[in-house]
Amino acid sequence: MALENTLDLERSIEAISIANSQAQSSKGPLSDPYQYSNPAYFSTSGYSTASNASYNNSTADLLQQAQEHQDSGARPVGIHSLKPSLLRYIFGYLAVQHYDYLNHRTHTIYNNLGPVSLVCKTWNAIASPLLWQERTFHGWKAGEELNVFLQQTENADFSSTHEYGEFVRRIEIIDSHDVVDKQNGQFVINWITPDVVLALSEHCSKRLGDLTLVFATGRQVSTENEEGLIPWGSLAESCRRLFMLSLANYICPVLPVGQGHPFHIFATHTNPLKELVLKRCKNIPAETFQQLARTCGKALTKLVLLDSDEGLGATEMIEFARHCPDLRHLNVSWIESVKPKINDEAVLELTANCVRLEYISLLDANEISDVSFQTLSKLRYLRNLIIPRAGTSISGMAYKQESLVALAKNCKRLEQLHLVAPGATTSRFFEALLYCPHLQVLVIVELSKGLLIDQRFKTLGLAKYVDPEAQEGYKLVWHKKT
Amino acid sequence: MTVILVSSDNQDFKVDKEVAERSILIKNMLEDVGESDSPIPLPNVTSAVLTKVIEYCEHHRNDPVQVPEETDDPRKRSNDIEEWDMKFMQVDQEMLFEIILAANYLDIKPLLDVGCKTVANIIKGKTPEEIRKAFNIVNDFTPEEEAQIKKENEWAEDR
Repeated sequence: MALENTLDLERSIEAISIANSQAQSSKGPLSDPYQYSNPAYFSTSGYSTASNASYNNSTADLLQQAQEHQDSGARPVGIHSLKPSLLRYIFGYLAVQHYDYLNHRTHTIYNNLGPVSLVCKTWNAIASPLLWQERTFHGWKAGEELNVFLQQTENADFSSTHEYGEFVRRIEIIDSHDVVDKQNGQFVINWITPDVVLALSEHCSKRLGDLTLVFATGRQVSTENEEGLIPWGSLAESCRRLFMLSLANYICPVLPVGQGHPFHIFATHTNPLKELVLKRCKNIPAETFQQLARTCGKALTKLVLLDSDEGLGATEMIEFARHCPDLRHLNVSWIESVKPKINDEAVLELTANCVRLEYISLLDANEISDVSFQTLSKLRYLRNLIIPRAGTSISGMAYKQESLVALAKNCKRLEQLHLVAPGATTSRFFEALLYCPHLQVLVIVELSKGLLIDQRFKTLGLAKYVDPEAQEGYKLVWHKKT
Repeated sequence: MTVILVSSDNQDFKVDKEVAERSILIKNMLEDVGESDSPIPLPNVTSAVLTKVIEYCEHHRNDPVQVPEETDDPRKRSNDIEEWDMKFMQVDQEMLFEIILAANYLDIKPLLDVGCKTVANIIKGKTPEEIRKAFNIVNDFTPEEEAQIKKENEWAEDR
């Protein structure tokens, strides 16, 4: 991603440089030896041209470059000698890493490039795209900041220094809950309005790749009337580089699926997404989930559908399994009032088609049986398996000891295992777990007490951790000794 | 096996092949040429710089080769500099940039990284004026342009 713009940028810097050198020429070329605008900057780039094509240089070429280098050797080497790509590389080290625990991802934030962008024109041209690639709007000032941002990116009077909208790759907007809406007496303000989404998709269409919208949990403008609908279709059509969408608390309007349903239009026309995250979203139709599975297809690597409602069922999960063979991260759950939907058929499709799965969390997989368990051992890239309620059927054990042993033996990358093992954790299972050297966390919910012996965990290098919430010692948590 | 490297000022440097091959440029050259005793000219590197570069490569001769995919990912980059490298980088600015350029030209990624981190550490926490002073850069903005950019980037300030 970062490299594809290199050419553009270098061209624009060259343009600045040329413009500057023309402006400077009246003062005489030596008026300022350290300035970038000195034409020598580009002719001294014997280093840079050499490094671009260094592999096939003949000796003659190298000598010639050396000659050029010596000719221009009047001024000492300094930061002006670095070509833009090297400067950008240095600026990369000024970024701050921010780990987003909720979404298990790291963001690279360049907010502190502000001073760097003010040093000189060349630095500004390199720093601005980095500085502007990620914007977050959160808190009581978010509304005002969004307004300013949208004005700057619209650049209606062409007065901005750059087309800032073209730099933006990631946007996150979080509706506030701590602002009183005086008219309705609610503690909610919607920053995310149809106008805002429309403006974003127009201004930032060039590079926007990652959009996170956390809606307020209360009243949402979008559900009220036709004009209030979020224009998802425009977003899909404008932002052809969008590859991550994350929505929380979005209440989808109840409309017939088809051309009048904005989110379904999005599902049909969006660029194939790599990551799709929908948390506590309501009223998304089953057809839209199926459409998303087909549209994203092979691109999809991460699917998070938390606290889903009736719209998401086993059929939809099967559709994702069939169309998205590159799925690595799967985390699906339903709100409490909905009957769990994950069944053997859905798990079998997943284990048959999505062999690259690394992370599986199915909190509601209550219904799956040994048929599913047998196939889990096919997933040899599996690192996290979290199925804390699977196997709690009335009959006791929902899966056979052999399936558990096969899982431990085949999935050698396991780091986290969260299971129900009703009184069936025999020595063979623990011996099998020795095949998983990376095991960090083991959580076993036991139906009958007293069968887990500490000694076995010690041989695995795991220490007991007493879960403060566990009742009567039924749930046992073990983690790697630190 | 040793290799002879020739600096731009025509000095010969005899180094172990293993050390020279820390430079991907030289490694590829040697692979292309095959077994050969002919010296390798490095017309972009002066003897003073080459001495430093060889010192670095000698010290790091046994380091595992970096996997490019991992280090290109900004998330996996760390700003830490090893103690030895830190001392190694205590040179004047001209030499610092000479080393960076040489590391880039010779394709020695770990050395390039250490150099770039060192520069980043100089930039860190400074005002624009302090940065200009530190690197002898002329402010080519008009006061109006500077004020406008400052305003446009205002949002980034207190974060």
